[in-house]
Amino acid sequence: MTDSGRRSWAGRNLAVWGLLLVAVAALTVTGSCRADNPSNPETFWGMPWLPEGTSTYSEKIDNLFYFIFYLTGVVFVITESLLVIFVIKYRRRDAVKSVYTHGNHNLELAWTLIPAGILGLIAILQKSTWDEIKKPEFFPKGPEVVHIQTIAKQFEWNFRYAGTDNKFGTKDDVIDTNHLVVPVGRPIVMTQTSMDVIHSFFLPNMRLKQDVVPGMQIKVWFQATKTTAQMRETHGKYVMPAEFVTDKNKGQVQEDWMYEIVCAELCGIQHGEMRGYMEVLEEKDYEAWLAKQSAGFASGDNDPKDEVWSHWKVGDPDTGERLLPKFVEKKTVKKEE
Amino acid sequence: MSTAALADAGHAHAHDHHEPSFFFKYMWSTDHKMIGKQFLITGLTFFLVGGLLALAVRWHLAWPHANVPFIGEMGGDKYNQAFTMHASIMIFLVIIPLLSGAFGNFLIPLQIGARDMAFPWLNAASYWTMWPAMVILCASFFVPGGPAQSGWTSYAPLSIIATGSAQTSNTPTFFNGQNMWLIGVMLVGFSSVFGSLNYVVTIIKMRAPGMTLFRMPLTVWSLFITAILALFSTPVLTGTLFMQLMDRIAGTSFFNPGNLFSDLATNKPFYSPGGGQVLLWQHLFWFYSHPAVYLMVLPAMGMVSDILPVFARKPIFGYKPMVYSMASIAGLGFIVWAHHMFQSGMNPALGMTFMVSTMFIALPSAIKTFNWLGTLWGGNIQFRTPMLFALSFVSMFIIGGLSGIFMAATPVDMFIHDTYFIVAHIHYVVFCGTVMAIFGGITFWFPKMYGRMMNETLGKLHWFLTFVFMNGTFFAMHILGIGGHQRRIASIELYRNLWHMQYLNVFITCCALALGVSQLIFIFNFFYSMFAGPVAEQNPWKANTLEWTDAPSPAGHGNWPGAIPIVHRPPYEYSSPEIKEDWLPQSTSAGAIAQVSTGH
Repeated sequence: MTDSGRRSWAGRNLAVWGLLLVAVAALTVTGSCRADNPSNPETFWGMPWLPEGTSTYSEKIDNLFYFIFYLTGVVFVITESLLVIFVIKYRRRDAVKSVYTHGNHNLELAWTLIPAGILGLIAILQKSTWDEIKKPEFFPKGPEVVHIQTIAKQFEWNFRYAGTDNKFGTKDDVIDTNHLVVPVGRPIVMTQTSMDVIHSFFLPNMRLKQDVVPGMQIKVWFQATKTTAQMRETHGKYVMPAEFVTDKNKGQVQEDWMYEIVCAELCGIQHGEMRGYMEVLEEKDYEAWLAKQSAGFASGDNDPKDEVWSHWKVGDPDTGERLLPKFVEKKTVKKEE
Repeated sequence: MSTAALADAGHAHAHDHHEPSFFFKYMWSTDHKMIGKQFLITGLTFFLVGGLLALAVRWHLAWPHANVPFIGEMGGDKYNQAFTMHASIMIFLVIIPLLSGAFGNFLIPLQIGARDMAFPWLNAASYWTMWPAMVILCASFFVPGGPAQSGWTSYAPLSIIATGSAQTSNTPTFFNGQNMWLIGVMLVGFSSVFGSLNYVVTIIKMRAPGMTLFRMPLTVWSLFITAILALFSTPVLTGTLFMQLMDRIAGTSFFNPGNLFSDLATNKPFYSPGGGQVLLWQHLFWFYSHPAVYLMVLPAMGMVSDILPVFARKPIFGYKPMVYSMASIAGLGFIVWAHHMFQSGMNPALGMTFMVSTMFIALPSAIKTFNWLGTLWGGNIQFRTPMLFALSFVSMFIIGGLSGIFMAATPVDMFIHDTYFIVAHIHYVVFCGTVMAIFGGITFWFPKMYGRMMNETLGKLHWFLTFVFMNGTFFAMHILGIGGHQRRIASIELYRNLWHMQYLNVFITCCALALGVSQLIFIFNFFYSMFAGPVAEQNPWKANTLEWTDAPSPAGHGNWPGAIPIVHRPPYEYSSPEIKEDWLPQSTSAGAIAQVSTGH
C-alpha cells in the first residue's frame, strides 16, 4: 500500500514549503533591477528591453507592464519550480503506490479565488489609464494643444498642420510626408484616417499605438517629454547590423538617433518599408519651423499634395467627437418630424 | 443504453462478412479509426509544408539580402504570401484537423465504448471535404499573383483590394489567391461542422452501459466541448468569408467604406457602392477565430489530462473542476473576441468590457494547470516519451498563458499589439503547447492505431531536441516584441530603432532551422515503427480506459471483439487501495475485484 513514511511529511510541511517557495520567487524576480544599467535603461539582464518611455503617460503604462511582469514572474517561478520538484521527487520507485487522491476541495477554492482576485485587481488598476489615453472626451483641450491631421496610405504617412493662421483647409496649411514635427511639452492631438487599407500609427517611445482605418477618423493624443536632441545626448548612434550592409550603403552604417514612426498593421507589399520619423523640438524651434513652412505653402512654393489631401473628409478637430460611419450618425429627433 | 444495444445487434447481424475492397478499406472508409488515421497522415503532411513556409519567413528575416533556398529572391509580396499561407495551413489544415479530425475520430468511440460514430458516412464526408480544401489552397500557390497575402486574418480592406482582387488591373480572373483562400477555408469549415455534429451525437447517444458523462475520460470531454464550440462558431466564419468573397467579386461593400484608392499600378479608385464598415470584418472574423484558438488547445488539454495519470499512476486531481474549467474556457471564449481589436478603432469603452472578460478567461486555464501539478504531486512518475511531451505541455502552457495577461491589459497592449510579443504568445500555446500534446498523443495511441510501439530512444531524442530548439526559437520573440519589433515585416532594415535586435532574429532563425531538422527524427520514427516497430501488447501502458483494456492493439473492425464492455468506475483509478496492482480498468466489475482479492 502507500508508503506513508515517504509521502505524508510533504503534506504536513506543505505550508512551510509553500511560503519558502513564494519568498524565493519574489526575491528572485523583484531583486533584479528594473533597469540594470542606469546609463542605458533599455536593457534588462543584458537583453534588449523596452525603449525609453518619453511621453506623459508612458510611465503609467510601464508601471502596469512591470506590475504584470513581476506578478507573472513570481507565478512562473513558483509553478515551474513545483513542476520540476514534483517530477524529481515523485519519480518512479518500484513497489510504491502513488497517493490515491481525487482532489482537494479547499485547494480548488483557494486556487480559484486567489487568482480571480488578482486578475480582478489588474483589471481595476488599468481602467483610468486606458480612458485617459483612448477616450476623446478625456483628451487635452485648449489653446496649447497642437492639432495635426494624418492620412496614411500605401506606403507613406502624410501629415497636415493648420499653419500660422491656425485653421485647417486654408492655403498656408503645412503638408509633410513621413516626417512629423512636434513641440516638446505640449499635447498633440492627431486626427487620423487612411486612403486605402488599415495602417497603424505606432510611436514606440510615446507608447502610443492606434490603427488608422479608412472610412473613420480616429483621434489620438500624446505629449512628448524629451526632445530629439535630448535623446541623442543619452542614446548612441544606430549601428547597422552586418546583415544589411552592402557595397552601396557601407558609408551609412551609423545614424543619429531619432523617434521612429512605425506602421504596425499589415498594409501590403511594402508594409515593412512604411517608416516615418518624428522630430520633437523645443517650442521656439517648432514655431520657427512652422512659420517657415507655412510661408512656403502660402506663397505656393511647396507642393500641397492635393492628390492626397483632397480626400480629407469633414470632421471638426476641436469638438473631440469621433467621426462615426455615415449610417450610425447620431440623429436628433425633431418634434416636427 | 438501449441505443447502443440496438446498434450492437444490428451490427452483429450485418457482419457475415465480406472483407471490404482496397477502396472501401483505405479510401472511402466509414470506419472512424481509418478516418482518424487519414486525418493524421494528411495533417502531418501539411505540418511539413507549413513548417517549410515558416523557415522561408525566418530565413528572409535573418538574412534579407540573401536568396531563400528553393524560393530565390523574396520580395515583399512573396514574404507576405509566405507567412499568410504558413499560418493558414497550420491553423486550418494541420492543428484543427489533427486535434478534432485525427484524435476526435480515432478516440471518441473507443473511449466511450461505441463501435463507431453515430453517422459513419457523414464522418467519411468530413474527411473528404478536406481534400478540395487542401487542393485549392495548394493550387493557389500556382495561380497568377500567387497565394493569399493579407495575413491569415485577411483584414478588409487589404484583403479586398490587394493584388489578386478581381477588380484591380492585375489578375482579373476569379481564380486568384485570395478567392481560393476564402473558398478553401470555407470548405475546411464544412468539414469541421460535419465532424463536430457527429461527435456531439455520438457522445450523447452512444456511450456504453455504465459510461456516465462523469466517467468519460477527459480527452472525450475536451473533444465534446470542442465540438460544441465548433458548431456554434464555424457558421459565423463561413458567412463572413462568403461576405468577403462577395465584396471581391460581386460588387457588394460589406466591409468597404467606399472611395478607397489602391490600385498601385494605375492609381485608379477601387469601385464599390461604399457604406460598408471596415471593422465589421474584424468583429465577425474574430467572433469565430477566438473560439477557434480554443478549438486548438482544448483537445490538447484533454489528452494531457489522460496521459499524466497513466504515467504518474494517480487519479487526475480534480476531475470535475477539470470538466467545468474546460466548459468555462469554451463559454468565456465567446465573449472575449475583441481583445484582438483593442487598438482597432472600435469604441474604447468596449476595450474595458473585453479586457475584463479576457482577464477572467485566464482563470480556468490556471485552475487546470494547478490540477495538473496536483496530479503529479505524490505520484510515481515514469518518464516514457508520451509523459515527457505531456509534462512539456504543462510547463510551456504556463509561459504561453502568463504572456497572455500582458496582452489582456489594454494599456500594455497598446505597446505590444502587432509586435513579436504576440507571435511569441501564439507559438508558445500552439507549438510549445498543442503540438507537444499532439506528439505525445500520437506516441501514446500509436500502439492502438498501428499495433506497434514507437521507438522509445528516438522518441526521447526527438522530444529533447524539439524542447530545446522551440524554446530557443520562440522565447526570444518575447524580447523582440518588448523592444518594439512589429509583426509581418519582411526585414527591419529600415527601422533603425530595431537594428540592435537583429542578432536575435538571426538566433531565432538558427534555432528554427534546427527545430525543423529535429522533426526528421519523428518522421522516421513514425513510419519506421508503423512497419517494423516492436509488436505491441493490448495494453502496453497499463492504462484504465476502454480502448486499452477491452480492444486489441491495433483496434479492429467493430472495436470490441465480443460484446460492448460495461463500465463500472471512473477512468483514472490508478493506485487504488482496492487491489494490489496500481491500475484498475473502467470495465472491471466489483465482482471481479472480489474474486481477485479473495485469491490472495
